[in-house]
Amino acid sequence: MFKRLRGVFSNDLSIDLGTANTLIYVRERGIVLDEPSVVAIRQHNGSKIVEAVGVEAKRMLGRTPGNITAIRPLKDGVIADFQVTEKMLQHFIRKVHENSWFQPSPRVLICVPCLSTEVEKRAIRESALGAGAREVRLIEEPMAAAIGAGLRVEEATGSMVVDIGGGTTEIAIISLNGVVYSDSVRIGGDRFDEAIVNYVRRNYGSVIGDATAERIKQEIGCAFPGSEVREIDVRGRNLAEGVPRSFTLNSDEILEALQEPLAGIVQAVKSALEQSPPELASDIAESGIVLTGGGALLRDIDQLLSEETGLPVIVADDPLTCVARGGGKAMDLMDKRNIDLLSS
Amino acid sequence: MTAETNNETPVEESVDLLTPGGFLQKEREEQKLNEKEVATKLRITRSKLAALETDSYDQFPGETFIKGYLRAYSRLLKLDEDAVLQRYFDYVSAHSEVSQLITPSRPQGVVSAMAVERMKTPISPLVWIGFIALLAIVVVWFALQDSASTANVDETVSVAEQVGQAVTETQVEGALDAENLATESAQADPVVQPDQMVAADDVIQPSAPQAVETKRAASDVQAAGALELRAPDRLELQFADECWVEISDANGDVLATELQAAGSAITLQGKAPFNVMLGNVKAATLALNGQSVEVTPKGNNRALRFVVGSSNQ
Repeated sequence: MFKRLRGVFSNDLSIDLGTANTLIYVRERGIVLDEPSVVAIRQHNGSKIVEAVGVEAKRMLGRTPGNITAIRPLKDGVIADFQVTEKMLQHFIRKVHENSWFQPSPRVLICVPCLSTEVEKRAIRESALGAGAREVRLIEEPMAAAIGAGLRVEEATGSMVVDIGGGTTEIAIISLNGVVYSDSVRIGGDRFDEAIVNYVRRNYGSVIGDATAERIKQEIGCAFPGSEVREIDVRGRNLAEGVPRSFTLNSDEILEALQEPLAGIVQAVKSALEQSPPELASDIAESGIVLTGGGALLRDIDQLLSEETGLPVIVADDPLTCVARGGGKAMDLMDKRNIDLLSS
Repeated sequence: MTAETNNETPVEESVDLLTPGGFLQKEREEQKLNEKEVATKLRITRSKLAALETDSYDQFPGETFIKGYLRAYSRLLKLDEDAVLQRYFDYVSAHSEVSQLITPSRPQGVVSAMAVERMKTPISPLVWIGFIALLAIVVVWFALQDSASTANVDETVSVAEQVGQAVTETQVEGALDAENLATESAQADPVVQPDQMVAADDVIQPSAPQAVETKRAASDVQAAGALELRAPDRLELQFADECWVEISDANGDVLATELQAAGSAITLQGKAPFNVMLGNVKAATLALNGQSVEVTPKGNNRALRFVVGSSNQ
């Protein structure tokens, strides 16, 4: 009852609770929050205190003293640390309602990976309720991504969407507001970073952090040969000498480093195409595959998939926010037509 | 966006007027590529390529795909993707009426709009409506409660008068024992509360002039009523505890405005009905012309404003 009263002063939120970033979309206001899913926790007299959340906490990753731990509470698209996720959600929900006089109690729609188990879904639902939400709805990530990318999901034509997130890559074939086929592989932006770290250690004998690897990926990373070669100066700790050394990496090297995770994504996309019903496969062959998620920003990844599958591949506008925006639209759809977009 | 349009200026003037499809077609012909080659490289059918070059955008399953194909096409021809997309936006906003409803989303525009939205977070109109409604409810509630409390007092006053009359009637019958009277009146009307019994007790204390007056009144109730109309009304108050008192009579004369100490009693004369305001209702005992008046406090309010002797007197 009290929650409902507080709800009058809260907005409906669509949350893309991702492994790497959490985005919140509010109806009529757009994306209001885009922060890394990182929480820094300070141990104080045996109790845990949240030190920082989001951007601030991410800056602390790998740079913390003994009593502070910066953790990412989500792993592979699902909750790894229930309590910390709850705290993080609470912080984000409050941040969105900064000018509110009341403690917010919004209706919340959260995107979940399509192959998440009942236990994982329940964990997400419970943590959102614990964070103060008065009603929690779940939607499959690729469905939200497809709606956010502007695909006509309600029509009787097949659309294929590949959402390359931080922890997972979700592949789904969608028709008539439902997911016909879906697959999820635990390869995403994090695996790209890891691959770069490993490559640098192997070939340069130097250790770099995840944050540096991410910067390398964003600045010179590419998925398909042929475009101009870019370079970047990187500093890392040399394993043999034990002192920081500077060296230069180029985009061809990064392409080589990313071969393994990229091959995994290509393989998953191919197997999805293999298993799609023939009518939908022909629809997809005609219109093409749509890429969303942060991974879609990797240079020339569309060309790689296009080359490998022989289909046109399109990167959606603003791929990072597709899922959150799609979730917002899905909430409107659910309200208007009283349908549930969670097919499983 | 302005930077992009500036980049286009080195190209011929007439090129600026071309539609996105026409521009791409012209560029393709200049680079000596045929439709089949381009369609194969873009992995789209030749009919789709033709649709793209003739700006027949309704043949595509959504804006996402149109923009995607245009990007891929311009990349293939090594053109500036954003410049080609800008042409598309201009074309759509200029030509298609439908586009007025579905305005093409420009990524940069979206981002800047988001930034603006993030800066100002307005209080939604719903919140204002909620506040106004809440205020209205509170005002109405107070108004209703006020009128309800005065009505309640009027009722209790009339009930108390009836009880008083019952007491005087029993006096006429000659039962002068005060204790008996109190119990009888209590039996006659179960509404009478124990504290009222005390009030009845007080009324029939054998103070000489009062007894004479009640007996005279008892001899003929109607005549007594008529007499009382002419004679000034008497309001007696006793206080078990400290109580603020404000009393004015029908002429508007203020009879008392003062704080009464515990255990004090006052007798006021004036014309009924009396407007009474008591600061501590529970501590006060009222009697009008010797007839006790029961006052029930409304809710938890200690203070009460009411009228005594309005209807029957």
